[in-house]
Amino acid sequence: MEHTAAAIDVALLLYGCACALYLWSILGGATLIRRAAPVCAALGLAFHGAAIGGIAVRLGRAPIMNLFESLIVLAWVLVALYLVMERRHRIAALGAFSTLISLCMLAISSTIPNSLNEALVPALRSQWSVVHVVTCLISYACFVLAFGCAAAYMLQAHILKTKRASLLQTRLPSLDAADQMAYKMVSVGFPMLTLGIITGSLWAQTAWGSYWSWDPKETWALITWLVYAAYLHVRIISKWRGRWANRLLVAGFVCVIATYIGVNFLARGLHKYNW
Amino acid sequence: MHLVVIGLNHRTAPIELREKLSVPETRLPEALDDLASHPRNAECLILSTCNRTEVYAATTAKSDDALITAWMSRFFATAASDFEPHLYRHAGHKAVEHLFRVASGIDSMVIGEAQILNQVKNAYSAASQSGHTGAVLNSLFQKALNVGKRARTETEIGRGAFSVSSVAASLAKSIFDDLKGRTVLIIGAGEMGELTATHLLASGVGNILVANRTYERAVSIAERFGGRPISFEDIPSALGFADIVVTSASAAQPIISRNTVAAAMRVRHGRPLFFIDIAVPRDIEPGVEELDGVFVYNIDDLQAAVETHSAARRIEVSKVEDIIREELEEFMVRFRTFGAVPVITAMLNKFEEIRLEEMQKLNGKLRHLSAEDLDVIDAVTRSIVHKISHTPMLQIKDYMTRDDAAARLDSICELFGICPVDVQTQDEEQDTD
Repeated sequence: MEHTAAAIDVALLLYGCACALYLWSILGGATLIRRAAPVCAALGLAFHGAAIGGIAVRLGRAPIMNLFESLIVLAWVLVALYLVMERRHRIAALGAFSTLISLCMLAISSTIPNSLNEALVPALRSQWSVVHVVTCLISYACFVLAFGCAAAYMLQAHILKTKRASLLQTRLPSLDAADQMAYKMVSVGFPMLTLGIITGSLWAQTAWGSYWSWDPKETWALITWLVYAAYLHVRIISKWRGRWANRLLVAGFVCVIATYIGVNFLARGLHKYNW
Repeated sequence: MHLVVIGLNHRTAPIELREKLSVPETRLPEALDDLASHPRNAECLILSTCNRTEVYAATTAKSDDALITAWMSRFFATAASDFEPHLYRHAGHKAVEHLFRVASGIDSMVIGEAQILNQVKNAYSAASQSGHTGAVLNSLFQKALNVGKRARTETEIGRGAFSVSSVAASLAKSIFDDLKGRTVLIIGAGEMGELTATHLLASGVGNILVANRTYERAVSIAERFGGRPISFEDIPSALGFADIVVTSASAAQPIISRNTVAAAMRVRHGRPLFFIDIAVPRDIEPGVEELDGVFVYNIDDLQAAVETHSAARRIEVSKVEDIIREELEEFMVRFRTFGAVPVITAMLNKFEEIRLEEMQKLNGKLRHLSAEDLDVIDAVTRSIVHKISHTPMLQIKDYMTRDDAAARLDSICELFGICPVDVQTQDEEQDTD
């Protein structure tokens, strides 16, 4: 237990460093800084991954069955996803954003009381559970990054509109790059969410005896799904981009937060297992 | 050791003179051999680019500038009086600092340009391959290349746009990322407009459309850029697919109205549209920039952006200067020890002389020794000399960094009874520009 906690602390520290380095490189840091940032993030990811492995070994199952566990895994997926993306297209602003979000998630997870040895309630013991949770978490990570792209787009557009040309303008992603990247993220995230909802409903059938019971989490997941479906429709069918696409990405992000965390605190439903 | 750089650059000499005094790469070995043929130019190097020609020389004796200018006059077949007023000369640590500034790109015409570092590297390898560099120039140029690299990795000197047309291209990249496959519409003819178009073309823009009130004019401009002429009436529909619009048409009234652009944006489905309005009075109706996804930059906006960039550049230049100061200090400590080389050489020569003499005597006295025995004795005496001279050698090098180095060197020479060709400490010779 001490080992995994220590590994999480190291990961926290490294993400903090990576975030600071990314910010520094946006604001005009030198090449050395730009190269150090992803290295720092990758090191953090390694420690983070080791911690997850440690927890999984201790529990003897995938550590994704309560908010504590899933936050840690989601934070990992987010940084991993960004680093994979960075190999294709480097967007330092998004690096700062994803490491910061991961940092926050790890920090929040450490405040959640967790004994790490409780037995699972029977309903959570299902072959569908791992697929359901993993696909949902990947889709969330994609949507968080898509939101980051939308935010970068809006910031860049604002800078260009107000004509405050500066180093920041050359360092933020171009409007086109931000738009493309957001689209790519949603095109990965949306099928993942779809799969997550389907496997979730299959799991619900075995656990609760019904495919769909309008539990708050299910309802919010559906709303989230509809928002991103609308985004893809706007983007693919009517080929619109810019203002409306960004608004949908922001709305989608709010829905993701509501689905993932909000429901657990504000509503009571079938999904309440330590979540 | 004396180090001197004599040369001219874009600030001191007009282009005609720089052209005349440049050394093409193929003639570089020949030029170096010619320059070094004078025995006093022990180490020399020629840096010749389109913006500068510089001769670096390191000599044991006090260098004679007239030799270098005489060589220039001879090699370039130009009267010395033609170029001498344009020459600058730096010696000692000023010469080192000058080279560091050149290598980091802050002495260039376009501050921070990347080519110069390669040109310095090539000049150095040409000189070292032909055997014209020694301890001084080797360590100096290796250090300079290092400084140049540091300047580019640790500061932003190599980035940023510094002219109106390059700022326009940089803004376009902030909107469209890759300019490949993008379409530019040029409205009106004008030097600035064409310059901007040239810059965009260099940045990879794919298609060019040209519109002009007189269609024939549009055709001729389009031919020059490899673009397609369109009639003035087709501009509204062209706005549907062009991504960047450069306007420089002189007109009393704006050519492109808000309504036209609003209609185009409906067709464009939110794809951004970038107007670069270089005309005065403006060709784009005020209010167009309020439309979503439309970015309008007029000449004043671009000028302001250039100002922002040059302010940022000043900061970067001062960062580079900090690096140079730091490296210069470090290098000068080492550089001063080069002054000890003649003394050390004289000392070692003297010791070796004595050793050889004694070996000869030994050879005469002990005839019964075999060749193997003599080899052993030779090695032992060598080792003794080496061990005895080791500490004085280090000490002499250390003396060079002291204030009273000259007096100390004198006593060393007295002590060992040696008189090297030219024992002088590194003096801070005056510069002339």
